[in-house]
Amino acid sequence: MGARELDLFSLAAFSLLLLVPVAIFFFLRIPRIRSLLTGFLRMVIQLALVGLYLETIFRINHPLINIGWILIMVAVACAAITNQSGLRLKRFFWFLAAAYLLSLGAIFGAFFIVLEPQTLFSARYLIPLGGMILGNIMRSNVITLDRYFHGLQKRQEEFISRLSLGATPWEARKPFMADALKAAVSPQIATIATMGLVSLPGMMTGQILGGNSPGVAIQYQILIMIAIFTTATVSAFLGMVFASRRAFDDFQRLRPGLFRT
Amino acid sequence: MLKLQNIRVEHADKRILDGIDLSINPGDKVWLHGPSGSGKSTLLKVLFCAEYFTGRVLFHNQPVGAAGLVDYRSHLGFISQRIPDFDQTAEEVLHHPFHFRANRHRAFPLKRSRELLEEMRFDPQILGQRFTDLSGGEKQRLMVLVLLLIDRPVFLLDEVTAALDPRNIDTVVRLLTSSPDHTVVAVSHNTEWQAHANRSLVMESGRLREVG
Repeated sequence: MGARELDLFSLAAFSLLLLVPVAIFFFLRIPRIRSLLTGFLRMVIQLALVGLYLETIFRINHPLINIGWILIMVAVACAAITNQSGLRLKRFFWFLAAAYLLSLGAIFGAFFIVLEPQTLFSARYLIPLGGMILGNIMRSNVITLDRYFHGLQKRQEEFISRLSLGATPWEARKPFMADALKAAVSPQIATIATMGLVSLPGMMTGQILGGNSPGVAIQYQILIMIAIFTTATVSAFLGMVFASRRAFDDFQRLRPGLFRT
Repeated sequence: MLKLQNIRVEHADKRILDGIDLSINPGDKVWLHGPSGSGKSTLLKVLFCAEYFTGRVLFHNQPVGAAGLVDYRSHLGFISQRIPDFDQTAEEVLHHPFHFRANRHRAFPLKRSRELLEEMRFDPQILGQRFTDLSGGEKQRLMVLVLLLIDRPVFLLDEVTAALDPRNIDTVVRLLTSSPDHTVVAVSHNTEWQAHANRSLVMESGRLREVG
């Protein structure tokens, strides 16, 4: 049993609801009406296209093609994270891609504890799980990289002081990593702690709408939340470790030109 | 002991240091002063090899390179102008360098720390306070105390007395310069350093001039 298909005409009629926020924006003179409408239009086109190629990928359902699709998603996520954190794409892409591939690979390895390989590598599982994890780790990785490198740049004296008191480069960088990671994971921990009470997560809602029992939906939700949090923390940490190799020279100085100007 | 040869530093087309030559002998107490923005702090960072520069830094007549960097830096103790906001108690801040791998073999010098706390007129209760709750002057003095405990042959000090009252300036300057074994390069606007320094250098627009 799946969710009842929506009539396209009634979906179009439902979209007229957006006129309400548009009216509020207009009333308060918020100059975002154009970006709101183009944003939604883009979303509809992108989702329609995703629907088309996902249907194709789901029909072919070959493990290699599914993994290939995940690799494309990692590349896009990596480019988006690098750009949004203000770093130069060319300098960091491969270092960060390695961090995200390693952490995602490890979490998919851990999925074998609960799912058989043929189930996990099927398009129906691999692509939504990979997509949800990648989508959710992007925000924490942007915050982590931004905080880490701007912290090192702004508090350079603190870094030097630690080195001069005997810290290894790794020991001197550790407090900056901790600050960055703390900023990234604190909101996530708050979200997790209130899940079910404040928010019903999208995946769970989708499964219930798709006809699964709330019990099964909850099992998957717990699974995905553990996977998302673990991957977000591991990828953010590895991202900082790998990017540091690129960012510092032999004298432990931040190389010039790390940030997009 | 320490030599700078033709050091130049540029930031975004602005020349910060303009061909600095300097030779520092063991035991020298150098007071480095001059207008704000003239390049004094940058010179300290060059001595620590934490700045991009052209020219050479020599230590015991050997150019400092990436290979010998850890050994070179282990001779230097650097206190920056901006004191970090450690999320620790004052006591933990005193102890934290002794947790670094390079210092783990050394026991925390408890007796010396008590002597110094008394000599620097710290209220013993300060040790239990959060570092972030301390005044600017207390933070500066505590960092000086950390440096004296970790005890390096060369002290590079960037405005370590800027937030202190005259009595505390006198104590801190005396403690940092009293040992003939320590080589000190102190950037400061406080003239109290003059009486304890054997060399007085003025930095103006990225150029160094020895006075007195």
